[in-house]
Amino acid sequence: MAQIGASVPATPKKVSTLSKRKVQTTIFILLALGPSYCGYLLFTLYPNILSAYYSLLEWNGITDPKFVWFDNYKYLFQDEYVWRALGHNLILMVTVPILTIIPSIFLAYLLNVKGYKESPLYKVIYFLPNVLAVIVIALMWSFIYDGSNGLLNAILNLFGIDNNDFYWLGSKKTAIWALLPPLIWGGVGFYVVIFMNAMKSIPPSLYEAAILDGASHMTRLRKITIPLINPIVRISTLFLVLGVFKGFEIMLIMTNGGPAGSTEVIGLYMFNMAFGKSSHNYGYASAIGMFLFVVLVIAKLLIDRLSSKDHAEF
Amino acid sequence: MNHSPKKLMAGMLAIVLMFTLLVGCSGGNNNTPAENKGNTGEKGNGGNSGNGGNAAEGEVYPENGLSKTEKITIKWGYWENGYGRAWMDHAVEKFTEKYPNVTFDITSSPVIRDLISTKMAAKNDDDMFDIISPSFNGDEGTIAQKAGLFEDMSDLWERDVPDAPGLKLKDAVLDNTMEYAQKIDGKFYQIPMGAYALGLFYDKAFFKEKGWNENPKNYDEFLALMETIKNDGIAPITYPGVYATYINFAFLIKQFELADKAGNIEQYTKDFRQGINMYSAPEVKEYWTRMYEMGKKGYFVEGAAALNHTQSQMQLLQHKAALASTGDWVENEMKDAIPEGFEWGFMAIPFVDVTQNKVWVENGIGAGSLMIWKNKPENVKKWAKEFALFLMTNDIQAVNGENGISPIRKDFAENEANLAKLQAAPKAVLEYVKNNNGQFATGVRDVAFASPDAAKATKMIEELIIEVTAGKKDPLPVLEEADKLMKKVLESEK
Repeated sequence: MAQIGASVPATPKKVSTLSKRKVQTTIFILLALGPSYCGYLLFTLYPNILSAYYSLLEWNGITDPKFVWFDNYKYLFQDEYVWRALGHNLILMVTVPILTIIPSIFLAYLLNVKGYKESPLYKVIYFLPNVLAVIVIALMWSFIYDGSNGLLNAILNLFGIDNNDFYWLGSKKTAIWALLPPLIWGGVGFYVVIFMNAMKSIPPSLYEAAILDGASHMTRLRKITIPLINPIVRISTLFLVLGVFKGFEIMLIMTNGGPAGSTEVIGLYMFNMAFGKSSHNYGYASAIGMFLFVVLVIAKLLIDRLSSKDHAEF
Repeated sequence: MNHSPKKLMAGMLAIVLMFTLLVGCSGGNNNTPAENKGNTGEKGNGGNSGNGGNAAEGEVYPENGLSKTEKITIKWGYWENGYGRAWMDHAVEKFTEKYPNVTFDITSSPVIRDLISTKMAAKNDDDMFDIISPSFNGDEGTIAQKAGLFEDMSDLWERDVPDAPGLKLKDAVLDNTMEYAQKIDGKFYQIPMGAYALGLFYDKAFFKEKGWNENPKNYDEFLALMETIKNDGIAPITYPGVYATYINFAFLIKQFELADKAGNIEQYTKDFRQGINMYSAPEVKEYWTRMYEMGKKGYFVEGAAALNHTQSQMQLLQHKAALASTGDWVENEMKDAIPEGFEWGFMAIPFVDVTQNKVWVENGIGAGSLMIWKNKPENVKKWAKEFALFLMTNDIQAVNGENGISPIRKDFAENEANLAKLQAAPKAVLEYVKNNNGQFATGVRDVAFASPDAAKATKMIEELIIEVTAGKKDPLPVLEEADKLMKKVLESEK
């Protein structure tokens, strides 16, 4: 009995300690997650849910909205401007990630393996465009492409190529391609830094062994570096593809979708439908936004499925 | 008590969703005027009034009966455009000097219209500016006026202008001002305070140096001028293709000139204002066809599609193009870049065959006009109207003129000495109209369409401009296609 009696007061104390710990854990979780969680729900999820609702309306933001069910979606599938814009998106989705990732890997490898004294400086130089505002990048490249005073034509003139003050952004044939350099230039530095850090985690012994076996730089890059940083490359590609698909700031500033719609992407079309000079159709713009969301999810799933998940371990 | 992370998350989600629902539903439609919340309507002694301006006798301004002691703050959403803000600062300074109980809380931005649209969609009257200007125009402005979101200011026409007792505003302004100013369902939601003109601006000194015809009297002479300029290795006309509708500044009004010539101007104007036959009227087809012909001959600058409006206007200043399609604010807007010796000149394209016909010039009556948000306290609205009227005094008109806004007070604009004080670009417009049997008219419509079909038609037309001015696309098939869409829109609006 005494033994039992002695053990009785011990149980509530243990329970109380456990309960206190749980309360503390709960408070900690709430404090740690609560603010950002609230922010996410309020500023991301809630507007997105509202947008889904707006997509069922005919609404100009001023007069009372009219519920039109799925009319906006029906119109969207018949709207040739949507498909034209998606075509431009496709061009950029294919070219920009490839032309950003490949040079980034090469540059990162070079800076990492060669161990130049100036490597940190190069890293900063490559990263510089990422600290510039998009508007600065867009305006700078607009000046580069200017027909009469542009840097590009001036360089061509230096080499004796006179293109008669050609406006690179003024022709339907060249405008979309002229958007690639600012898009790529603005991204390479960022991925160089990411890949450099990923490459730093590869044990040097692997390279040493390869060098003893007589492997060239290209072989080391293909057989050691890329397989070992493959997950990082994959996620970078995903970010780039999704970013390029959603983004339209460069086009808005440099061409506003012109000439004659030849650089219009889906995000810009959506923006102009809602906030354009002659269109204020929030309902239709929201339907395009919802469509964009579905396309992005499909793109993500496709990239996940199609990209190689193999990666070597060390 | 089991606090599993899953349950915790679910709980948090429920709480936050309830909170967001509350936030989302709390804005609501305020159909009653917003109450004074500290910024407006306080008596000098600190008490709240919001009483519509009633005050004891002797404490009111005799000219308008408004209280001298009631503190009023007017929130102004100001669009800082090509005319700058100097005229606005001057007007505010003079008004508050005269009425010290009134102050202004000004938010000034080149993109103020984006902010206003968002505030409109939020439908929060407290948060909305009391007055917005200049001219929150375009389709969105028309829709908002039609929806009754702004105060009817028609009564101001019957008021005396402050610096000329006995002279009613309607009699003080230039002829046709009331006719040109935008009306929605017969009501004026903005009272004009100035005018702007659109067309082709050039450097007189450069024209003289080249020996080009500064005053083509008919269409053939104009085409001959274009050819001469082109042969001299200069681009005849520049415009900003990034915002391609700038080309309309030179062409849109020409449909009225053609209708006038055909003796059909009255009906044509009515149809135009209601958006009827927007793309199918013969006059519209004709001006597009002429633009196309000019495009084929290479009379528009190459690469226009890549130019924003600053780049386009720089081409004019640098003599890379002879004429720029723009507005008379160009001088004020480019004042820091105008080279020495540049002399502003203006011309419209004479679509007429014989010199006796009128040459039509587009002007906008209403540059800088104020619009007053309807759901605001009565006293604030009354003071806002007083301010709108104050802008019509000659002192204010004179300073506005110095900043590029053409005065519209008859006794000011018709006085040669006053005209001499204007900026050179607006002065060049007036000179052109005087010497060329010019006819001012406005391209403002009284309707706006928000359906996707209407947006699509507009987009088709805007994209067409680049191709037509490059001489690469016949506009007629596209006009027909756009017309079909607009017919559908008009049908659905019936």
